[in-house]
Amino acid sequence: METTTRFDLNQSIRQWRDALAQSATMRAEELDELEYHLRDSMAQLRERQLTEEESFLVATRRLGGGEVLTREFAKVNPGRVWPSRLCWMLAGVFLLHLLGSVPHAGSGILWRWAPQGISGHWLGFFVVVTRWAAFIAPLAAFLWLTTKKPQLIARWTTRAFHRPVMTSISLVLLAVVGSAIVLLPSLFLSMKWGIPTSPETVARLRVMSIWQMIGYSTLEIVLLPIALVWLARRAQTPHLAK
Amino acid sequence: MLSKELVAASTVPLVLSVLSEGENYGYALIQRVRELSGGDIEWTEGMLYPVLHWMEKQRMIESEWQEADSGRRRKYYRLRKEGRKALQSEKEQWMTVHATFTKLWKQRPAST
Repeated sequence: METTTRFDLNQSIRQWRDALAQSATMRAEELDELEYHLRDSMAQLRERQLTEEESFLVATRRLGGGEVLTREFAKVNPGRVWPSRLCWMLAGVFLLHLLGSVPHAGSGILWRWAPQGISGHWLGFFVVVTRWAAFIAPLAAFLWLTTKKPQLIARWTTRAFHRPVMTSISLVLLAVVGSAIVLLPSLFLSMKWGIPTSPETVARLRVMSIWQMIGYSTLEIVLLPIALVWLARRAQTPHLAK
Repeated sequence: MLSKELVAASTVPLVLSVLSEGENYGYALIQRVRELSGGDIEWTEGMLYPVLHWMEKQRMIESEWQEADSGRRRKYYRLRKEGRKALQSEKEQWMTVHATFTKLWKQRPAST
């Protein structure tokens, strides 16, 4: 490197390129084309006595902001956005399913082995609240991360997409470990003590099941659509007139 | 400076016209338009590429990577038959607009 300043050209170009690659609407070849354009543009600016850093800033500015570019590329290749969207949808389904199965399995343990003094209403209430929390908490966490720590998310996703094999293995492992944690205690307890069939336990199960039915379907019929509409509105606001 | 709408409408015919001079790559294409318009037609440079790719899909142009003497790779675009036809049609349309304005403004030069 000829420069002695702290500005690292290749690193800056890599960062600029990685940011564009995030959108999944641009292929490597298109990024190459933009990068060569950037380098051509910078070379010309350098002839006008601009420093390396200045010419990088001017050239990227002339190329246009990432949001504008990715939007235009998406318009030309509308089909290209969907595989990545579908990937995220499946990730969401996977995560919610995994987290949702914890309270579900928990309820299986609770109605059988919770102390007799605790009524079905309490058990049902507890299970429903946990189920709701398992839905809201990951959503809130994801929203917080994406708005407050976008660079962190960008780094994780880039790493995940660059190592598809590692990512797949970790996901399968996560699913296996998750299911084991969810299923094993219940299995272990049934094997050890059998399934209780006393009238009290069955009555408690009935009360708890009603709670569960109402609680779970409220989640799917009310909470899920509300979350969808709210997120869709949030996603739109930046583009509306302001 | 051109309005946003006019920039959008004139990009494809401009690209076709520059490429009718011979094959060229994105950066040089922009330079050529800037130079000819005396700097009045300023594109957000990156926006040219989605347009080029769209034109390629419409079979107006085709592209090929080539290596420059400097070692830098460039994607050259050149006109295809469809592109020449499109250029002809664009030319007729723009000339119609141009001719109409010329006549109108010749009649009443002071009324603008």
